[in-house]
Amino acid sequence: MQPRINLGVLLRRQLVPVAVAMGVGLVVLLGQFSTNEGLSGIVALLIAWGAIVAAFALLLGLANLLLFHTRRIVKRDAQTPFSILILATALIVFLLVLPAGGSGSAAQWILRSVYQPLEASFLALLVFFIGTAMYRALRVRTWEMALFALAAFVVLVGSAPFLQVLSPLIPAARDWVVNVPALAGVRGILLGVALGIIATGLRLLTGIDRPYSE
Amino acid sequence: MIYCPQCGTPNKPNSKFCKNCAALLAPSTDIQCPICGTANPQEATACSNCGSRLTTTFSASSEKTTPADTPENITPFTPPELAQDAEALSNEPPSGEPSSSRPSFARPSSEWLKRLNKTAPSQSTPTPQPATPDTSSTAVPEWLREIQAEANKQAAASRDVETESEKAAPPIAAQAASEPPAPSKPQLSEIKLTGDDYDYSDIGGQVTDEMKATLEANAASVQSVDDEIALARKLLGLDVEAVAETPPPLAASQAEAPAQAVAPIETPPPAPSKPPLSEIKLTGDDYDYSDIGGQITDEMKATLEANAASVQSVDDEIALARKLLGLEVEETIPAPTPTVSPRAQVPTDTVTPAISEIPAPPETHAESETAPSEISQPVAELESTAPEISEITASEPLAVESIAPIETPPPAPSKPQLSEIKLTGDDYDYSDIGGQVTDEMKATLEANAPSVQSVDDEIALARKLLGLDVEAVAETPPPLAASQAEAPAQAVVSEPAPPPASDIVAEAPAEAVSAPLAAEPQTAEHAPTPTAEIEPSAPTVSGLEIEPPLAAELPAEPPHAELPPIAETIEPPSKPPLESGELPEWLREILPSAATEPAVSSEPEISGDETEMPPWLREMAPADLDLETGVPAPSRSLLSSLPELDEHERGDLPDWLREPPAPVQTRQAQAEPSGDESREAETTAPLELPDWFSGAVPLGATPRDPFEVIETTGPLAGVSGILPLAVAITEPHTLTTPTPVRSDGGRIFQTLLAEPLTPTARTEPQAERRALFTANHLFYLAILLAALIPLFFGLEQAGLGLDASKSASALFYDQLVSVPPNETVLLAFDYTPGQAVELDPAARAILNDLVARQVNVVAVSSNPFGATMAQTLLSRAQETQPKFQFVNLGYVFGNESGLKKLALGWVPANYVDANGTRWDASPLARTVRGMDDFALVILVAGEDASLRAWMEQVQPNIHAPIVGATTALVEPQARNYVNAKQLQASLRGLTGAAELELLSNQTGQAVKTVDALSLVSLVLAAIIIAANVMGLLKRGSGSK
Amino acid sequence: MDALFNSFCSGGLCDALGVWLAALLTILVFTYLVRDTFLFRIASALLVGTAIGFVSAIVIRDILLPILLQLIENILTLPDSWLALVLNLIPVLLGVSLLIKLTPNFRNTTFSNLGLAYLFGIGAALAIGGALAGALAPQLTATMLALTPQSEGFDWLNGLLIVVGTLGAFLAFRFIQPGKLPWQRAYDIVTKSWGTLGRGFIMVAFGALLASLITARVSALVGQLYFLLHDWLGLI
Repeated sequence: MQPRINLGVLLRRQLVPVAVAMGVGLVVLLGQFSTNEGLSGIVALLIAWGAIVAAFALLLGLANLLLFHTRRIVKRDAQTPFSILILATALIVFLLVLPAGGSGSAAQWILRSVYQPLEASFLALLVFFIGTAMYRALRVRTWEMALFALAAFVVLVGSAPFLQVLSPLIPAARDWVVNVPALAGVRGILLGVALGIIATGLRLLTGIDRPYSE
Repeated sequence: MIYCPQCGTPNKPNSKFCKNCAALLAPSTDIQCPICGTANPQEATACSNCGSRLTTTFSASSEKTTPADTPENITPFTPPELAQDAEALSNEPPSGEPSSSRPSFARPSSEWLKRLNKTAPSQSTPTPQPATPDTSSTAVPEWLREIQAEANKQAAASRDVETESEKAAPPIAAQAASEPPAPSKPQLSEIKLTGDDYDYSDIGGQVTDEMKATLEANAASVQSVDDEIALARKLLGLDVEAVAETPPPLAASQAEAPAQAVAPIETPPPAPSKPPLSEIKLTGDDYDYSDIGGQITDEMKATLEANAASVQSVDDEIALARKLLGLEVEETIPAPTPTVSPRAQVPTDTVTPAISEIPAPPETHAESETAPSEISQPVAELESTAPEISEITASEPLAVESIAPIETPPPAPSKPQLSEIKLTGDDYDYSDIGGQVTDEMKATLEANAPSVQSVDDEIALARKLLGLDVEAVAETPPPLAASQAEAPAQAVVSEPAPPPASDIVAEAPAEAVSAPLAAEPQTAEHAPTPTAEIEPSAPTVSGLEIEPPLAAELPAEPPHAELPPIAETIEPPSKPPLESGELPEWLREILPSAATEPAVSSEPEISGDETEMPPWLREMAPADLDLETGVPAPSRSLLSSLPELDEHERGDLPDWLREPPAPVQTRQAQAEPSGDESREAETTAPLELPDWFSGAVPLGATPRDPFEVIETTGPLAGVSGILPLAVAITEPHTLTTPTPVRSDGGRIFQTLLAEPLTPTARTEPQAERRALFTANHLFYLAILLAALIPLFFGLEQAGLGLDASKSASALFYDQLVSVPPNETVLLAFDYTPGQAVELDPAARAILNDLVARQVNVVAVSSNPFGATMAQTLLSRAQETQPKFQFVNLGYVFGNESGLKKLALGWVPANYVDANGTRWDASPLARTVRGMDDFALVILVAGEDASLRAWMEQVQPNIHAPIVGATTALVEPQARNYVNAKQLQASLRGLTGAAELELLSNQTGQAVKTVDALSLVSLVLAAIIIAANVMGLLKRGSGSK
Repeated sequence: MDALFNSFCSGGLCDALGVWLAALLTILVFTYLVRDTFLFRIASALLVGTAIGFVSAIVIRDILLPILLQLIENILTLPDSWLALVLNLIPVLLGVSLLIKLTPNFRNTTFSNLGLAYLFGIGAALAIGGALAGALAPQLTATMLALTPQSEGFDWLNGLLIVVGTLGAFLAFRFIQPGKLPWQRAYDIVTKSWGTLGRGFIMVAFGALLASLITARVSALVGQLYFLLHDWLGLI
């Protein structure tokens, strides 16, 4: 027997969010290509609201992260001490930054003394692992790998300024690689990405994809 | 639908390969309507096309060939010992639905069954198959019987069996009036003899589908076990002499009566043509003879159709139907239908007309009197077709549901429930009395149930059926229903010696039965029982001196148990009934000659010990398996040649096979009455277990553990820790559709089992601590040194090789210097603190230049950290230049939305900046009302996402020029935007910052560190070269 | 708090402390080169905690509080500011609907999906507009213009290469079954060949990106080493 469809539930759960997404999206999309003052005003308002909702989304992410570590603390597994450290650090930083905001002294000190060295060091670590990974993986086996390795080599060598002393062709080669073939490839990828974004966005605006509903 | 055993995908019925995974598919399990041939789902009870009742068991067509037409290894299956205490076992009421309670063993989907069907019978002369060989459960394994039964049924389903018409003419006439249109098979419970499937192998023959149909059709006439046995015997052709008329014509597919079975039948030859059903005009369709008192089975229908030519009137048809149904046992014994093997494929036209012309047995069929005229002709014609039939299958003790007269006394009027017998709890497990009960035997038992008044009677009857007490067989069993009177697996059960005919089993002469049996062992296996169709009322053989089983002969007349003797191979029942341990003739035939020879050559040995396994079964059992009777090794070849059972087929095993083996002690106790001492030693001797099997303890030894369970019975006696087979077997087995997960699991398990044993790889225990210094550390050291050395030992001229004039940084600098003083630029700090190491120098250089030229700055950031970093730099810049004006708008939240809002509407007047100041309170608010009011937009982007966001959301909406200072990672994208004129210029990371510093005559960190950057880059480039060189060297050395 | 911090950090104490702290944290991270120890995990935890706390403070202070204050102000000035209240309340309600997603009971209610639907709608519209106006149009224009020789020399050849490479990179992601007609097969051969060539351009782009990544990370390494040697140890 076919399950009975509750129209009310269907309306509420499916159609209302879809209507909101489609309506708002289509209005904003049209407003981007329209010069109508009224529409532009509505679009600006909707976009402003979107910025606020996005801020709440950021808050949602933070809250989820806090909940995750809290649950881990409650569960008391091997990672519990680190979760405690995370929450403690977050609390301390929150308390230090909240009064004066991002431009306050405390925020600047925290950023300069804690966050920046940590993040920069994490990025710097990659150099070592990239080196070992390149030794293992960057071996020419196919023509595509040959192009890949050659381009990497040329750009890397060309990025060393003092090799320009040896020959000006080195930086020139690097510039050519970056400005012509690499640019073509990046542009092709960029175009493909743009088309994909358009297709995905249209699917969302037409209600085909509804990631926001059940 | 056919469900793929691998992935469970449903496929079309005729598919050979799965459409999903391309796995080999088993034949369709759909049931083919015997009337119209429409494939119906297995669970259907009526045909969707014509509405006829479907035989759920054997109605599927076997004509579809499957790709796996290759011989399979057939492992012998040794039935477990039956439980001894029959009284302890509750009599299972006869299953009403033979196919439902016990699914057919030999299903249409059995690949090997089809191959068996295709195997030519090795023997031409039909051997009088013991219609109901008195082999207990040891005589014919259920699976073997069912193989043949299914094959017979399949053959019958595709051909019309006309043998039913003669015999069942009276019953048909009687039944036709009352039965509903649907030709429903009588419930097996009505027959009460066999639990299901009309396994009359115990009475010496393999019941074919037609025979079963006949049995079922004659079910109404079967009043007792004896009746059924007699009928079955007739159908199986065991009681040749009792059959005065030629058996009813067989269905084409099943009327493959062996020549031997047909030849001696003096009944009229079968009618040459099969009239269409509509000509009979008795029942509207589907041979629904329920009105005359019985359920018509498919075999019976085939028989009716086969005999249709002889049916001239309604009365004839009724009589024929009644005969087939066994309603008028004394009248419905036409000439024994020669039992034919299915392989013989006697055309219905040839056989059935002859059979249809078989007159009703004058001495036995009361019903046949109503159609003697119709039948006499077929009888005569049957003689003419006897040679043809004899060629078909000699070994098929198919109880073709002939209407051969049965000379046995009329069966008892009522068929008591099996539970009334109370001998065996269920399934007619007579293993305790020395044998395995086949389905036919069970049917016979059920048919003869009225004559069983006590436990002793039942035991005696069972013994007779099992061939244990040949001399005790005095009555022909009542006719069995056609559909179930498939000749006992005369061909299936290859008895080495013709079992002495017991009451149930036709006393097949050794020569008569063994010859065809031995010659055509395989054909008999799958040979359908044309007698089932021909003789719907094959008499049940219940304690009768059943004539030599007509292995492939016409079955006994419905009301009689005796089956018509097989031509020259059928001898009068002078031999004692088959005892346990002796194979029925029909079984002997299917055994390899080596295995059957000893039995063939010798007279049926009457073994007094009922518990001793018949020799034919012994031969089928593994050599090291200590069965009751110790089957000799050679006979295992038969079993080994039989196909392996899949899980479904095993699940279709009859209960007696599922039941636990009887304890050795009890078997010994049972053996004593029989007096066979020789078997005792065999039964009690446990298996010779290999040395590695250390679980065995001597019998009678005290368990090592109080809770230890030591097996005391069976071949594994003395072994402890064995899973209780009885429990496992008796657990309810349900057929489940293999799911993909289960199929995958089973397949994986099978693969694992098939893999040879390999020593498991010993996993090295992981070292607790990693080595401090590894080869990777060399790389690390090299990179570190490359970075440190230029820092420590800086070149005199830092930034050696930097040529800003020829780089893209110059364009950036040009854009920067093009901003007039006192103008305002928008400086976006869209990078994180981690990227600040690379971009802070660039930002500082930019700010320094702007500050030096007194350009105002409005700072903004699309990430929370940017505002803080901007504040730091702007504060420091203001410290160097107090007149420097800047506004730090702070974090513009909303990502793309925020940027879009900024681009479209800028900030509202009441916007509070990072320092808490309202925008409209700033002096810059007077000159800047939108982004177009900026002289330059400088984007310092650390990630591609932020760069793209600015390019997509801001750049299309503003007219101000945009330049970008990016990390080296984002530089290729930035160059793309520069090329597309979306960016006016771009600055590349630390190098660009260094170049900018040089251009702006600044000395900053960038210039000092660019050398280190260069050296590390060179080291990494050298690593690329080294990697490829090493790879080439390895490849070269490898190729050498 | 900030004033307290400033008073505490007066005299450069916090700067020195910050340098040492930064150096210590840098070394903690670099210990991973030797072995994955708990020191490295401490550094990771500090990074995550700092980020969470920092962003939370910024979001609450610079975004939510002003909005809430604005709402309160609108409420207090009712009924004149009813429109402003409504206009300010709607995004807040939509934002609150997002926060309801944290609760297990109301996670899948209609109200909780509203905020998400709104975000998706706005995001999709902005993405489409940005892709059209900010990527497709200018990039395609630039590709076409590359064919026109802008200056002497090999610029036209570079432009041709850019066009060929761009279209080739585009065709490298073509997955269409070839037709059976001759012209369809010829077209497929051409496009497949062009796509293969485009794959070469893509590999060059990836190589350039790899080199750029290396350069960026080396910059970070050099910067940190410079900090350690210069700001912390004062060796250089």
